[in-house]
Amino acid sequence: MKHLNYFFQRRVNPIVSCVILLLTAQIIATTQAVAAGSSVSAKNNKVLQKIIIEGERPEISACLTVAQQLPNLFPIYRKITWEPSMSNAAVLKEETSAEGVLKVISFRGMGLLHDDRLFHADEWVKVLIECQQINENKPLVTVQQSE
Amino acid sequence: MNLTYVSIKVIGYQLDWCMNILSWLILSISAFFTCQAWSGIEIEGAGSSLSGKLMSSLGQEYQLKHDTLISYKPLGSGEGIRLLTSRVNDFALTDVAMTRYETELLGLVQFPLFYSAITPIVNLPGIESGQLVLDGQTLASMFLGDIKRWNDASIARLNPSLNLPDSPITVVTRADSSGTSYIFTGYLSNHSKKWRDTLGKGSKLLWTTGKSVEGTTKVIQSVKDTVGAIGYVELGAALRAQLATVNLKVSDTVQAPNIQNIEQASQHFTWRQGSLYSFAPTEQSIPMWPMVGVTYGLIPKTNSQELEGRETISFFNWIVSNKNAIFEDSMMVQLQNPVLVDQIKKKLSDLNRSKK
Repeated sequence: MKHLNYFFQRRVNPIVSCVILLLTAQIIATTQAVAAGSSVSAKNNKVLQKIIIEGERPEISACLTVAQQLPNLFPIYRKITWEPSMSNAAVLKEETSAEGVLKVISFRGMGLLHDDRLFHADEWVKVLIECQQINENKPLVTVQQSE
Repeated sequence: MNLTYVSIKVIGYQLDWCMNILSWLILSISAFFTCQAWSGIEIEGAGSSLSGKLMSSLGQEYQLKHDTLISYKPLGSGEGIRLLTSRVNDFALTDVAMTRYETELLGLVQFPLFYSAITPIVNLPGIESGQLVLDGQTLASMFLGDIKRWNDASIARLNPSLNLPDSPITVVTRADSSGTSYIFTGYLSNHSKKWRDTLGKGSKLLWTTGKSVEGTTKVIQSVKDTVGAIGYVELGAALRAQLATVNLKVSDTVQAPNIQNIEQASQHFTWRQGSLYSFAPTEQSIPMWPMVGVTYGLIPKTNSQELEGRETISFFNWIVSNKNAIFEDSMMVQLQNPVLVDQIKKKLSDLNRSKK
C-alpha cells in the first residue's frame, strides 16, 4: 500500500512516459521482426538442404523451398500439397533480357480450402503453383486455382 | 619306422610355421612401403558425368605435380550437388548452374570451369557421322514423339540427298538428373514453343516417348544396340564411342559439333556480375555449335577437413590458371576470358583467406 501510494504520488512527466513507452514498443517490435526474419532464413536453409538431399532436381529446389510456406502466404488455403512425381513434370522456362535473368517454374498441386464452419467436408481444389526467380534472388511464389 | 614318420611330420609343421611367419613379414613390409609411397592428401568430388574423362586426366596430372589424389565420380550433376550438400565430398561439378540464392543458403561457392558440347547421336545403317542434318524444331518434335519415322517429311526436307529409311525412331533419353539433359533441353526450349510449354528445360523430365536410361554409358550402349535410335551425349563421349553425330541447322548455315564451333559459342556467353551465373548465347548467323554448356565447380565455404579444403581450392586454382591441352583432347574448351579468369581466381583466393 505504501509502495502504491509512493507510485501514484510521484510526478512523472507524461511526455517522457509516452516517449519511453513508444521506444520500448519499437524495440520489442524490431527484435521480433529480426528474430522472425532470421528464423525464416535458417528454416529455408534447412528445407533446401533436405529437398536436395532427397534427390530433387537442383534447378527447381529453391522454388520448392519457398513453396513449402505457401499456406502462410495464401491464407485461403489451409494446406497446399503436391505429388512426389510432380517434380519431373514441373516446367522450367529461363528467359534473359537486358535486365537480367528470369527463371519461371510451374507445377500442379492440390489446395485444401479454409473453411471456418463447424461442420463441413474438406474441399480440395487443383492449383497451379508458379515461382518467379528474378536475377537469382529468392523466388516469388503465386498460387491459383486451376479449375 | 614310427619315429621317423613323427620326425618328418614335426619338421613339416615347423616349416609351415616358418612359411607363415615369412609370408606375414613380406606382407607387412610391402604394406609399410605402400603407405610410405602414398603420403599425400586425397580430395573427393562427384557430379557432371560429361566431365568424367577430363577430370580423370586432370587429376592424374595434378597428382604428379602436387602429390594430391583427386578422386572424382561422374555420377551426374544432381547427384554431385546432393553429395556436396550432405558434405560427403570436398567438391562437386555441375552443368546445372545454381543461383546466388541457392548457393548462399547452402553455404557454397560456385565458379565456371569449362565449356562442352552436347550432340545428338544416331544409329542409322549407311549414314555416317555428320551426314544427317536436323534443326531445333525437328529435333524437339522427334523427342516429343510427334515425328515417329525417319522418312518423315520434316527430316527429309533437311536431308534431300539422303535415302532415309521408312523405320520407326527410337528416342533414348537420360533417366537420372543430368546436366547433359539440361543443356540439351535448353536448346530444344529455345526452338520449340510446344517443348517450352509442356516439358521445358530440365536435368530430369517426364519424357513423353522413348526409352530412358541412367548415365552416358547406357545412352551410348542403347543407341549402339538399337537400329533407328537417336540419343544425345557429350561430344567427346560420342567420338570415343565412334557413334554418328548429327549436324544442326543454325539460321541459314549447317554447323558441325567440333572444337572450333564450341570456341565460337563460348565467346557469346553472358555472365552475371558476382555470381558468374551464365546465359547461353541465342543463336546468331555466325558459325557456332548451338548446344554448348558451362560446367561449374562447387566448393563449400567451410570444410571441416581443413587440409582437404585448402587443397581443393589449390586444385581449382591450378585448373583455371594453367592453359592445358587436356581440355582440347577431351573436346572441351577452357575458360579464356582473362577478366573472368581473374574473377574466379579472386573468389578462390578470398575463400582460401577465410580458411586461414
